Amino acid sequence: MAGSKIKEIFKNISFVSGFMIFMSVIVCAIFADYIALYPYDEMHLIDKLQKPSLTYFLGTDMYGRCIFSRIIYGTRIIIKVGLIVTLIQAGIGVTLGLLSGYYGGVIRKTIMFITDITWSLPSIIMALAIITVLGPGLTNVIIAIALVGWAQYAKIIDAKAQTIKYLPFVEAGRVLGETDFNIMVRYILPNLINQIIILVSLTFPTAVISASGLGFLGLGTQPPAPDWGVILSEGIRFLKNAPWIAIAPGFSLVYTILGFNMLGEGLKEILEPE
Amino acid sequence: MLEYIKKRLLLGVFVLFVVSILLFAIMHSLPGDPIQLLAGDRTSPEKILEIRIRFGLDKPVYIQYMKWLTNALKMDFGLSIVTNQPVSKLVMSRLKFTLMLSGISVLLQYILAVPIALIAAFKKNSIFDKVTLYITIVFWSTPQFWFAILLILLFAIKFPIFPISGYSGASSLVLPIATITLTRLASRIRITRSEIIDTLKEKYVITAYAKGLNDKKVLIKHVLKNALIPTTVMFFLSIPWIIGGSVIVEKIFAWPGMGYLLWTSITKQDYPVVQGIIMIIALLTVISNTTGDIIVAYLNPRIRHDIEGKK
Repeated sequence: MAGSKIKEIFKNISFVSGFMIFMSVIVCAIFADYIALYPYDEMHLIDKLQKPSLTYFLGTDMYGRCIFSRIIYGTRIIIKVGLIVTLIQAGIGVTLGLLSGYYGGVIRKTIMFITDITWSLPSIIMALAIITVLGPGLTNVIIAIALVGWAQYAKIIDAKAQTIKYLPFVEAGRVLGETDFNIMVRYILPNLINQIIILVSLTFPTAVISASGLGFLGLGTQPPAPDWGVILSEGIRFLKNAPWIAIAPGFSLVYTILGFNMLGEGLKEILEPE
Repeated sequence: MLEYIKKRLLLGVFVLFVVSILLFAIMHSLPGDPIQLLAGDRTSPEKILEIRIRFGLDKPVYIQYMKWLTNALKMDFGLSIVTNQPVSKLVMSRLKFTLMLSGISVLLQYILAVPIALIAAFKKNSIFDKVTLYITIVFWSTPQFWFAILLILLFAIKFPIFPISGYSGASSLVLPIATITLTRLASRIRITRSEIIDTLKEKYVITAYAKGLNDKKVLIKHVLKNALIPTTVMFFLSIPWIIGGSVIVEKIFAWPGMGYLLWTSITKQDYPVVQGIIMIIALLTVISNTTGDIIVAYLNPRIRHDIEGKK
């Protein structure tokens, strides 16, 4: 039984390729010091705006910094943002959504009111407002994105929990004298796993996109840190003469986000075989 | 039902009220003094005090808030500190450009997403479904700003077909709208598809088949109607998000819209303008949330009965 499940997992192309992409990014993040050719902020002013070559795999930027090394170090920022934001958002959102959907009444009203307020502003606008106050920087970006994005978990979990709680097996659990906590965690939550996985596989890339977007706008990670969004915004001025500056971080972002999306897709196919 | 609509509207107003307080508090805890910035270093303290009085910044915060709120209700968000123009006039002149982008884009998304999702879901695991899935994953994984840069590289630098900066007629719309539509379409298709697949598994669909209805009738009468509930909600909810997300797209294409104005206002600490824009986006979001909720409640019998049973 377990053996066939493992076989099935390894046969799932999305999962395997997604997992490999994701692991490659994690390996880059952990071993960046060994993989990168130069420190991410080392300038070689003689070699500025060089085409990709054997010395500089992905070329150099306007200060002669090695783009390849900057991209490699940038994975650390990506992983940090993705993991922390996802953990905070899923933690807050699932808990509130379950409580709200299961109990209904005043509890639901209160939770949904709070949710509505955070939901009332698109996350990037809210993040912009928070960052205007806190000031730019990676930690502030993580705080801003995490605080404004959990509403979708709460809303979707709440809506699903509301329909599930009327299903016969939940009634049966109640008749059997299960506690509310048990019903929520053991009866309702397992039925929400697919929703949660879909949401998590949305959150990680969304967090990465938002953080690099804010970096791109100059409000996130500050130069010379090798944030991919920052590198992209530096590259936009050289699109005609040195397009590789923008191309490298752009494709790196797609590669990483694609990896996590495929991982999520594969997990969904494995967990939800129809 | 009417009771529910009334309650939902009231909630919307209350949410806006709380947002306005939060926003006002946030904007007033900002570091940096816009008046000092405006006046420069060489202005005398008397002159600065005079400007403060002119903008009402010498009064206690709660009085400033009350004044701001009563004016905001009349769509008067004060004067821009930088250009001295009324905020509402500034924003309104920009709003139509932003609505143009988001409106056309949402419409295109809806027109494209529903049929594609319907075919993909109904012919699940077919080649069409698989291809759609892989294409949507790639598009979904592409950040808007990177997609925009790719389009610029391809259609403005390699083949100079479309303008990339500002608004100069219909051809200026192509690249920004393509960016927004194509990057957002993927998630629309995927969510709609999984919603339709869920609906296909419902008991009433099986019953409809058992009654001897053919595919077409089941699809239109039962599946589409029920699967369109979440799609419609999604549709309504997404407009303010596109407007919010337009900050990046508008900045890249130097689009004369609200997002670009918000960006320049943040960098210039022009907080009456920032406040005004965020309040307008909040208003749009509350309107679409409320409409979405009411439609869901009306169309989904399970939730409708829940509401009407409790009254």
